[in-house]
Amino acid sequence: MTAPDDAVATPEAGVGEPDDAVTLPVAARRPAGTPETGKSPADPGDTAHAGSPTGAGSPAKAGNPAGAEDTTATGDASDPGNTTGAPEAGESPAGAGTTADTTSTTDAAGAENTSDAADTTDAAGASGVEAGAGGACPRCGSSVHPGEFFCEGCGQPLDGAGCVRCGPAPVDPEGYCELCGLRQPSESDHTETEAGGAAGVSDRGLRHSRNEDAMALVAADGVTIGVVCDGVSSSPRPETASSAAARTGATSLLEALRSGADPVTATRTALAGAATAVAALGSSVDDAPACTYVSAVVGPDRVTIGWAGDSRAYWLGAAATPPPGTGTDSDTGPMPSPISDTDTGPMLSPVSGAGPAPLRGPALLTEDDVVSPGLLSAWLGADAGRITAHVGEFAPEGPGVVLVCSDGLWGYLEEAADLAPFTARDTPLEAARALVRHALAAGGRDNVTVLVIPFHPPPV
Amino acid sequence: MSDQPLFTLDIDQNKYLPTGGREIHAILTVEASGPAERAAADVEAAEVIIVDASGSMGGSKIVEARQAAQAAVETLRDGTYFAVVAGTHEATKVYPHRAGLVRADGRTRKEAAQALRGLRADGGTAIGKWLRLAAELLADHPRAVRHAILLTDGQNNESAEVFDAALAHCAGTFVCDSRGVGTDWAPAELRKVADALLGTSGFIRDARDLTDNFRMMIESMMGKAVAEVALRVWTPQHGKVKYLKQVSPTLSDLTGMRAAADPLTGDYPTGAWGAETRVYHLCVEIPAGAVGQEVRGAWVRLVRPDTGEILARGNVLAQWTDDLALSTRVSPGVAHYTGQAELFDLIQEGLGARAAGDLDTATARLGRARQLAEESGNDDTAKLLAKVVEIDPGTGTARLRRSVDKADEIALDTGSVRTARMRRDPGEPGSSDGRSAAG
Repeated sequence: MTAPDDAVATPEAGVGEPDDAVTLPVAARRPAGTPETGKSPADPGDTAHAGSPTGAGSPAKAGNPAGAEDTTATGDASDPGNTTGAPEAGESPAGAGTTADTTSTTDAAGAENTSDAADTTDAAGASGVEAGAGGACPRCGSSVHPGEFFCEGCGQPLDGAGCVRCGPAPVDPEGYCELCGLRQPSESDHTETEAGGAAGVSDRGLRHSRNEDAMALVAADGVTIGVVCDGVSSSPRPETASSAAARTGATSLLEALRSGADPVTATRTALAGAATAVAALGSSVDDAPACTYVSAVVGPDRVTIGWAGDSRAYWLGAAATPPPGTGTDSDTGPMPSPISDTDTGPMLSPVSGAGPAPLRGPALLTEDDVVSPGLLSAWLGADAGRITAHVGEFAPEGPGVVLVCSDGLWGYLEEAADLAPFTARDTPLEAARALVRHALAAGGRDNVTVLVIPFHPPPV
Repeated sequence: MSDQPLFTLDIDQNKYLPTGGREIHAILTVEASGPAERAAADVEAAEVIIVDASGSMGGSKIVEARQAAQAAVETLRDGTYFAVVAGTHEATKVYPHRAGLVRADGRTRKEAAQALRGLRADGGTAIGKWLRLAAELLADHPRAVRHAILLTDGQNNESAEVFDAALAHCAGTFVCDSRGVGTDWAPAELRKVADALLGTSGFIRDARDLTDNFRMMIESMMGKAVAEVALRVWTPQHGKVKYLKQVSPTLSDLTGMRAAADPLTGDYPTGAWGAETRVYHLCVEIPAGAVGQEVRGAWVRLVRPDTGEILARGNVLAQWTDDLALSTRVSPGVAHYTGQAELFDLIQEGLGARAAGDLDTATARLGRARQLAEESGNDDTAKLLAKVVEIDPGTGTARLRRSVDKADEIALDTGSVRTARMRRDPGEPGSSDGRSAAG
């Protein structure tokens, strides 16, 4: 059990350890009223849709060789407000109650309130932007708190510098330069976050006009929680889906753990809560913001992963023992242990039976929910139908890091053994930055988000 | 006047441009709905009815024209200001006898009918003068929905310069719907009136249909609830509007009517609005951006010039991509209305070549036009074309009909501005069975 028994029992009470760190970067919403046409560059187009006639109605369930249990959550557009029904909550009454509390506060202010159980830092602070002084946004008039870099109302920078291309030209409330028309970069274009020794970096990439990925990182009660969500480009307002899912997932996980739920149950509960929150953003199956989801709970002795979609989690063991007979390889990075040879598929623990799967060398912990490359078989959204959530539980046998990322990273660097060198020496923040830099250098075709969460086994 | 219709602006485009691409196309659908009819009853309206009284109108035509003008007067709502003008080589107000316009009521309608009975056919045709008098009469009612009906049966005797100057003088001061009767008038001349004065032009083949046609024009005018709406288009620095055309219900080029609102913004007049839908094709040229950048290529607002109120707004976007699958996609609306504009051009070129004796060009253009009309669902135009060009059902070869009724030719010429609406709403979301992965 990773949640200590003396953890706060009432999550909404806002009581927490003062040295806890909770960071929930909230992606700036895209201004309303901006018509969105076309699809993302990576959208395979109509042929891909046609090629997957069963995709929406009955999402293909990803293979599950290790026998992990699946949790089914419902993202039902016809009843988006039904938060208590979503988590299939019979397994964990405490978890269900927590989820309902959390999903009722999915607006930005609510999320901040939830997280003031712990220290909240502004993600943009790490990027070195000069902070605003508070007052009112000069563009849309929304109230602005001291220290904020971007307006919560219109999502535009508050520094008053004007257009990033023309300089002093004014930017209108929709985010376009009034002189050259350029859509201004927003808060979510590049965010960095740190909590409890873990770090995350999310970047717009080089080919997309905005960042539709979102991440959340929470460190509290000796547990680090990370969530990465990737907005589905062919859905409307995908950045609202990923933002809501990451925020809801992380806060739900924390509250479920504090209510006494075990990490596996908490992971399921949080995923269901996130699914409900995303489903609530859609008005119909034809207007359904959608995203992927992957969460990691890194506790003192185990790692719990939950996911739907093609965002991934990896185990990058720091002290893998090189297997015999591999001395000819001069790679300075850790060598994959024999077990990682299976890293084309996940190693899922049979959570209801034999306990967590052991982890040694670098390994992929998730299995993509895809029909074919680029075509999802599972996602969060009002049009998702019943979501098959996968949960895996692992027990690392030595120190290492859990890497949680969107396909903007693994699209360029897929093998666990190739990822491991990036995290071997640097701090988590430096490692995350280096991985993002690698993706950008390789083309940056997609938004890229990387969380690096260290795992330190308890002293024996 | 808070009871004005609700305006919506829908923009259909493919925002993706190839690397170095500079031209963006968008189809703007403007719909006015809601309490338009109720609102229209409260709106001040002013009408001038212009009847051609030149010598060629003699006989039954002048009789039909009198009756039509009388029907138009009878259709006017009580309180509408109106006048009747007889057009010859001069413009003569036949009613009211006092200065300016008169309010419509039982007495003035009867007096107008009396005056119309005295209308005689004599003299020439000076359409520019007729329009100038209408402008002068309507100028006393600047806040009203100002409208004129113009009927002619002959070609204008004025020089092009004089005619164009008169159109420029009148532009923006009133809307004019014009009709030609008989086969001696020039569709191109009335098309110029329609374009400059934001109205329609039409052909009345049988003078006996004049009465119904006039009544319909007045009814349509009585349904106008907003006297003037402008399309305000902002383009970025170093960008420009390449063209702005109305493409539905009829084709009409607004490009030259731009009035600068500020260095980056121009207003394009669209005339009076009732409950109706019009579609525009906007083409904007902007400086090329870098792959991944998104810019607002045009900011389109619908404005009431009298109050400055913004009725609707929307963005035309551009985003550069190196993905050819995205940048080569053409939005269905742009494709459809580009085809309708091409259809108009083919018909005009074909009729022009036919008149000049170039039968090969005429056959090629009109044959292609007929095919395009049928493909795009423009059945009315296809029917008009069928009277002029026939297609061999076996070989598919086009052949000009040997004898073509002059009236059929005029009907085709006049009708070529009418476009077919899109078969399917361009904004309708397609059904998708899978999810393409994020990014």
